[in-house]
Amino acid sequence: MLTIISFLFAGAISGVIIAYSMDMKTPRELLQGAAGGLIAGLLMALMLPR
Amino acid sequence: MDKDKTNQEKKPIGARWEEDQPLVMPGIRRFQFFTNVDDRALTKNLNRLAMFGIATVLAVDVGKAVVNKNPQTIYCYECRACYSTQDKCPVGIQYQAELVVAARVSDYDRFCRNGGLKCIRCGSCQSFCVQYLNLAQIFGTMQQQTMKALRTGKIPERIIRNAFRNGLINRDFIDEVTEFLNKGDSV
Amino acid sequence: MEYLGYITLTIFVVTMVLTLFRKINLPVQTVLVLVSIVSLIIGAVFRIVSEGLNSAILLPNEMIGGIILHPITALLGGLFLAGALDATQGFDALKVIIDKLKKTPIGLTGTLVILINLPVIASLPCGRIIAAALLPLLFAFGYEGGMGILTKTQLVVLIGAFTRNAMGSCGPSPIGGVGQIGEGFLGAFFPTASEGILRSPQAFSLIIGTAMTALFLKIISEKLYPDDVSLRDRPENLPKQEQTKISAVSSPFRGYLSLIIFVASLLIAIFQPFGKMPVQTVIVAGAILIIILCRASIQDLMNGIILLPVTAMASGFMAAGVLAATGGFDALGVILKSLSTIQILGVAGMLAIFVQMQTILPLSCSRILTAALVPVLYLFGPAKFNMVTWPQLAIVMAAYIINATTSCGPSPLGGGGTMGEGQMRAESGFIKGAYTYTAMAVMAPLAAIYMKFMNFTVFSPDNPEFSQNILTIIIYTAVIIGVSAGMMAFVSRMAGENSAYNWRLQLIYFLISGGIAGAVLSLAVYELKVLEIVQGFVGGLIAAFLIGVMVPKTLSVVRKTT
Repeated sequence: MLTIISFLFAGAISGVIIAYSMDMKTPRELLQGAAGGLIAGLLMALMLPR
Repeated sequence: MDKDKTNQEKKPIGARWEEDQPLVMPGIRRFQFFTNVDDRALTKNLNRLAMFGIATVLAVDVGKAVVNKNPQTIYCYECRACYSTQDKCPVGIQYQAELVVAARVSDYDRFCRNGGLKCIRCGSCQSFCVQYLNLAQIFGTMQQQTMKALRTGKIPERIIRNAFRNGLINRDFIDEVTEFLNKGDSV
Repeated sequence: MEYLGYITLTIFVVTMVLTLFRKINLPVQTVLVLVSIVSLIIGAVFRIVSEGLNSAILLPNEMIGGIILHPITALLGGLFLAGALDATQGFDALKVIIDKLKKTPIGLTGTLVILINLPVIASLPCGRIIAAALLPLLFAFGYEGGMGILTKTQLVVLIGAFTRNAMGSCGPSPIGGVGQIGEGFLGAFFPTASEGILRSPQAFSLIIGTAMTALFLKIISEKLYPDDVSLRDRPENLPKQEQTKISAVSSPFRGYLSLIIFVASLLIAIFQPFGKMPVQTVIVAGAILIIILCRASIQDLMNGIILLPVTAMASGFMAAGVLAATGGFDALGVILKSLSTIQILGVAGMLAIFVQMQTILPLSCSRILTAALVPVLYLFGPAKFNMVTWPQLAIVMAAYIINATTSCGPSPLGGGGTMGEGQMRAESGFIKGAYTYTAMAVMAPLAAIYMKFMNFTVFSPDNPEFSQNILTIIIYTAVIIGVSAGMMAFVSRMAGENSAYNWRLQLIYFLISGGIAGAVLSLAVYELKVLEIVQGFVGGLIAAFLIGVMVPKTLSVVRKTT
């Protein structure tokens, strides 16, 4: 569970940074980036060994 | 139209213009050969020779495995997941992937150094291979090849002597190896 | 024979440095082949003198043993599949799907974030497969690619970040990834290590490292090399009619069918539901199915195959093969180990340099050096030299492996990053600063921290010494991101028109970050021991200097093709 939480955190923060880097800086776009990152982080975490 | 024709006429045989390269995206052509990068050519022939060398070495790499009846070795990812065998290998071989690569290219030194002649072909390492390659069979084939090379004098004595000193020869081969080394000593 | 190793290693390193600085003006493939031949001749002479002709005759076999076929065939397979997808308008189908995803709650931004992280989610044993297949799609987001929904700057960041993620995804792959080299060794202490003890630290640091690469590309690389990406933006005065034409995308049925086959091939390659089989076999079978069902011609597929990176990779393997055969890597191992006897470095400083070794010397595929150096690292542990304990070795291994697997990205010797540079039409070396910086200063320390505070308990649950601490991970991650991003913003603000000044500024940034990375690694390995932390800082500083000094000041703009 903690592994999944850590990946969700990493995914969200990564999504925000990527969105910012791509000049998508409105609050809505940053949130969408975080949401995308959350999905990516979750998928990654689910593929990992428990 | 005439200009195009003249340009085409001027084109030397075998020359590759940028326009001849495949168009993959609007405005993007792919250089299929590094010999096209002629801003870095002392002479084009040197680059062509290098290209030929690379192609030959790749062909030899694959061809050798087939000729030596060890074609499975081509599929090895060299990920070394087989190193996880650890103490499940009854004779304590640590670097199984090294043996696979050695078998692919007939590298007797690498094979003997990593305990190839010690393997008893139990197959314990096979389950760790992500490709499930028949490692026992690969090592067995290479063992036969190594012994054949030993008999025909293709292997330097140093390789066998080192393996012998480090206890890397199993009982199937120990007699023949001892005889080979004794012969060398008497000479 | 020992001297031979030092000789061939020196020839290789000097020649490569001269080539990178354009003092030797030949394609890197030609240089590598020449280096191989020269080293082979020197090796043969040594062998004839010391062991006789028989030994010299076997030398070419040993060189060929250095060629790793897997990444070569993986790249060819990926390009083959990409060619099939392109020829059957599968990319158009993907564009339609992405167009629809734009309208979902995650929007275009969220879609792009998932797309960028797709390689690590898929975790194929070579990132080139997915990069070759999907890079043309990313290009399509720009004006020249047809969709016109991203600007040039956005496209550079998208392609750069995606390629970063791809050229590291071979690390955490459970089906023959590079990380498995280290996992095999750690199995001696952690019984279940082979199930993926290094996967989580790698994936975790990659997801953060990818984002930091995006940031670096945006605020530093674009400022340092402003004229070296020849992508075009949508003209401002484009008629309205044209604008609608650009964004309207559609695809025929065969496009969707080829896309379904492509996705199915990827899923079969990842999950292997029909038993263990090479990923390449699945990919090529998928491409053949596309040819038959979607009516693509063989010519279309062959056009997708580029021999340039393949030859660079193969020639890199040849040179590495000769180095291995002549003892060059053994010499490298001895040099690294001897660093620990220097008092200011000690074991901690030596490890801080060792961990960054593959980013210092980035080769076309990380497997070359990983296969040579991981056994050396293993011997530093309780197996032989007892310099570190098993858990300490696992922490160092995590940092080393992520640094190693990402090293094909910035490699100019046919590394995977050149695929991204080609796609964004940037001059060679554009991505080098971003890729090496994040591998050195972000990913390596994060992997070490993650291994220490999260991963041990998964693989050794009964050991009371280990515990999971999510808060520590979050704090460390936030601090590493904050410090890196803060300094990045400072460098970006200070950078001006003078390229030499910019380069020096960047080098200082590398030095400080490298030092901090070394200190963090020592902190993870030795906990709060001041001497080791200082030694780690010094080691990190040296590694950062060697990495930073290789980042190009300016990029070449000379290209003559006729």
